[in-house]
Amino acid sequence: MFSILLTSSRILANTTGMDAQKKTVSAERMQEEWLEIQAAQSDPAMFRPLYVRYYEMVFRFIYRRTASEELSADICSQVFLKAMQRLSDYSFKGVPFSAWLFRIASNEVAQHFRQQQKNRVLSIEETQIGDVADEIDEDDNEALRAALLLALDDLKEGDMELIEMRFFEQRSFKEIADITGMTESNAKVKTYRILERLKKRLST
Amino acid sequence: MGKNYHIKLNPDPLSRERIESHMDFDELLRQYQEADKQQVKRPRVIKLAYVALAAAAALALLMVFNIWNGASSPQSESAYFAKLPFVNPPLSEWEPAFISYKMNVNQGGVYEYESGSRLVVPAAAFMNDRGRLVEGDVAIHYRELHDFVDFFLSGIPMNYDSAGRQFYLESIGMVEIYAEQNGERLQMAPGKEIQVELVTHIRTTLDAPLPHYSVYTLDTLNRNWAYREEARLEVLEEKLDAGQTAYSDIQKEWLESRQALEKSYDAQLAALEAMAPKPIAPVKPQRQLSGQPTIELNFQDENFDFEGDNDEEIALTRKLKDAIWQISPQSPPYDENAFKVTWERMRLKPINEWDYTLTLINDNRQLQLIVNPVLVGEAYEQAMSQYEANLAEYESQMDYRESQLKARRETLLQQEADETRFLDEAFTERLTEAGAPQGKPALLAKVISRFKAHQLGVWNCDRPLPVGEEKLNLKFVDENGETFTPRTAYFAGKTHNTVHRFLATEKTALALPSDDAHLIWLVTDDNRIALVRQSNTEHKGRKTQTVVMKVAAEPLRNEEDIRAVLRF
Repeated sequence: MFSILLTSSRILANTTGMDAQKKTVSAERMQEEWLEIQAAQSDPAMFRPLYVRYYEMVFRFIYRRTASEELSADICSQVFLKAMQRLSDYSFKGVPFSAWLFRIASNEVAQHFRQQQKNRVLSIEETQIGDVADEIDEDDNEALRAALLLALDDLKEGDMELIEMRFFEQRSFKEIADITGMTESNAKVKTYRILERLKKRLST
Repeated sequence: MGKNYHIKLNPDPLSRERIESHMDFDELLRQYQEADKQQVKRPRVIKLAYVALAAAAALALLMVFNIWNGASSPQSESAYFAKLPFVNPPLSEWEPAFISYKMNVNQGGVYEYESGSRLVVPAAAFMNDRGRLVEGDVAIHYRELHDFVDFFLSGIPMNYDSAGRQFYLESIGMVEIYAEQNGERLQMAPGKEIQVELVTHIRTTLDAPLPHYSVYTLDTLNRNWAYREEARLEVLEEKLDAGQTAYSDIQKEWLESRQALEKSYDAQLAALEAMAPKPIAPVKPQRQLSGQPTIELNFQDENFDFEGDNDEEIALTRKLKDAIWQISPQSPPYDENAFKVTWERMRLKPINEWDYTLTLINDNRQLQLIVNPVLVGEAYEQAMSQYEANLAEYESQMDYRESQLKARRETLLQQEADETRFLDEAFTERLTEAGAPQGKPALLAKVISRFKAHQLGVWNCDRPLPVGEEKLNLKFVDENGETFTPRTAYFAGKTHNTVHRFLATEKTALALPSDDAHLIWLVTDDNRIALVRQSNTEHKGRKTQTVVMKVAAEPLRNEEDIRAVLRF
């Protein structure tokens, strides 16, 4: 039996760090997409390629928050209908079009659960709980996971969205900022503060 | 159930197909238009009533004017296709099927298709749409498309716009590859490439150089093809083209004699080379990449296995006595905690001279890494000095060898050229005596096209053919003389392996090949094929020609039925 001796200990950021690979959309691609959006603004039928491109992404976003395929399909239809209806007001501000769709989707999901007076769904892979534990420097174990779930359940909706997008959907801060409309640094600071609160709660 | 959230651990994954089953843009558009009408009924719109009325009146006048002049509702081809999905299978039931492979991303894999084509997928090649490398099993989906019927059924457009100039892509074959994990589409990780070896066929003639082809990818965002690189083709086998029937016995004999002659001289040249074996080239030592993690391996440990033959292990142990092992940048992702774990066994397996798979094993788990032997500091400097000396010696031995072989090799090549010329003259004479047309045999060459796919999607080996300048005005009608509602139609020429889609209306301007037999067809509302076969095209100036499309009587039960209908 033996242990492996790591003779040079540079840690690969992309094995554990959350910042290693971010989903980014190039400025060139956003410009190209803006042309498609402009075409759809003058002819709604030209919205089809945007619908085809983003349907699955938006559907998955909603499904994580509803855990129901049929409900996700209904809300997804509403999201795209609203997107088409509001498209004439949309203008390109250097933010991916997908972020605008996610924002509509987030509002639609929240509105649905408000109307139904039910708690909305929070989908988590068990391994992702470990990611949060790592981030607040706690040793990952069964007891901690249970306590962490209880602590998460106490978060306000806005705080939960940040934790959800960052840790359970592995979005970059840039993407979170685009979706929520806050600045990237504000998204970072807020996330850090929520983690601190979670840490404090776990230590009591 | 929490008090504020319904926390769902490990939610059931949804496949892409499930999600896509809910997509319905036409219904969405209908809802949008319905809602738009409702809005128009609101009182505040009354202010605009005069303007709307005026616009409607102008529109009505325009329509009356058009009807008076016998014009159909104008619809540009580009606007028509822009409203349709870019890849739009016309008979989705018979879309060419994908074959699926399961692959462990930590290991990569080599996959062979029934055509003989191969995919070599490296380890750690995929990431999800959040940019994270994925681990575990992924599904690789793959299909090949070879002829115009495949292209038609796939719905992949073969039109190519190059800086505003229109072409058709004449293809020798294309592949489509995508990968999924838990129903989620994956992307290629940056820097990773799938090696594709596409086996396909090209029509050529004996001794003719292979035509020039390029590799293009389908850019679904920009709705066009994107040039990637020149196609690298290698001929695997040549046989007489099945299309040749008259005098084919003589031509077949000609081809076989040439192949036998070539084989004989190849064997003589190989024997000549074997008389003076090539010296073994020294391997250049490699220095550790800056900042890349390294580990030490003890070949003497009883729990260390080398998966190669003993001689290879001994040679490696000697060669690498001063080496340490660098974790390759190509290695699958790993958790640094792996280096805090006690491993019970270790296996090292060569992939090539530079890359080795290292498997660390204990009761609970296995970890696979790709590692490279590297040298550091003085050991590297010493190895480089030794390498340079060995390289000089190697080059000197190669020069001597070449001086020994050159004259004999050139003699053999000259003899081969002479015998080939005699053979060709003899067969040309035989064809003349038989009253056959002159020319070397037409061949069907089995070729392999190699390229590296750095993204998933459609990769096409093809060459652009310009769209003809001279267009015909065509009116498409059914057997009863009724015009079809505007719809997608297709044509394919016999000698070029492509399919062109266009908008068939009452008045379609279309450039058709004038000297090539071709098919024009469309899919009717009840999913049947209406077509016309033409042996050539007569240009009649600006006059509109009526093309009668006959609905094929044969039922379309499978791909073979469609092929039977779409024969030239």
